[in-house]
Amino acid sequence: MNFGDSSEMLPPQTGEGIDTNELGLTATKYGPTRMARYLLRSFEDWFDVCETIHRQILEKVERDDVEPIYHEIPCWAMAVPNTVSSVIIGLGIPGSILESSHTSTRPVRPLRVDFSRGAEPAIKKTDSTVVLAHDIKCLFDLNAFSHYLRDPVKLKAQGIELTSVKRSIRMTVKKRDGIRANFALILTYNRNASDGQ
Amino acid sequence: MNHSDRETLHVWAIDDEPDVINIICDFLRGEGFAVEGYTDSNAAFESLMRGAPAPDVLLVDIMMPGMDGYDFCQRLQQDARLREIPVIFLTGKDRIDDSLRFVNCGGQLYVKKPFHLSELRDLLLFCTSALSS
Repeated sequence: MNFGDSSEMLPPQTGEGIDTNELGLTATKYGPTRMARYLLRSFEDWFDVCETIHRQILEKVERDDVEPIYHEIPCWAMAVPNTVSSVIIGLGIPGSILESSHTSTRPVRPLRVDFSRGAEPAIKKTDSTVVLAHDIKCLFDLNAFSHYLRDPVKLKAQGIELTSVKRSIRMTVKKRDGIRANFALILTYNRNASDGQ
Repeated sequence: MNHSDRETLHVWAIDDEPDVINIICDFLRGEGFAVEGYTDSNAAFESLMRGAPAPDVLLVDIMMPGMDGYDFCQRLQQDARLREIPVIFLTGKDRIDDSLRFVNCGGQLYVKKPFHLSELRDLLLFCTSALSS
């Protein structure tokens, strides 16, 4: 079984091995980075991860730092071999953001981050399939894609209907150059499929 | 990494459900892993504190009575011999909605149940092969 270059998915767990020159100044205020990795089997899992991290950021991060943090948290991913649609996603999260919620005295204040300013996914359609691909380098990019997929206006404009096919959506990743993006998150579904079939 | 190529990986599985432990242990042993299963996190902890050889990787259910998966691993973090053991946390929740606590407890990976056994095998190999490379 070949995981390829899985070492790139696991830079050292603590911040020591991560080049701090690559971290934004805002992120370094919140301590050495640790890697949070999740196994995702559906794009709903990935939505849940985004929401979990968003809640934690709102609780732990000063208001003016929230959006910069989103751009400074790096994101990696790899497909799990021998699976149809399982992806391991890793996010380098500053240490103080990881602290357990019950230790914080900071009240959670709702704050909208405008993910609509992020790039939109590339969309390719054939007679039988629809493929959406989005390059991702940081947490902001991951949320921008998530935001797009939950925007009914944009989806309708593209003729994309996800609700009826969500169980049949396959998720995979493709490595990128690590400069503009670490990976592309790719969703594919059969145009003729529905969850009722 | 093929079954025939790898050194025997030692896995401890900790879950309060005996059926889950039995299924995981039987399968992984058939795949060539050396596995110990515990339905009591306290017993597993005591065993490690008494000097049992540290496993190569821990599979830990989060929601367990008494000492839950987070508390168990948090205690291991206090021991220099044990804090580096990679941990795969397993949750029976429908959604990934926990805090990020699993990371500071030594968690390498957060996995929702249910899972395919073959997927579990692959994840164990991922955690150990990637960390050693």
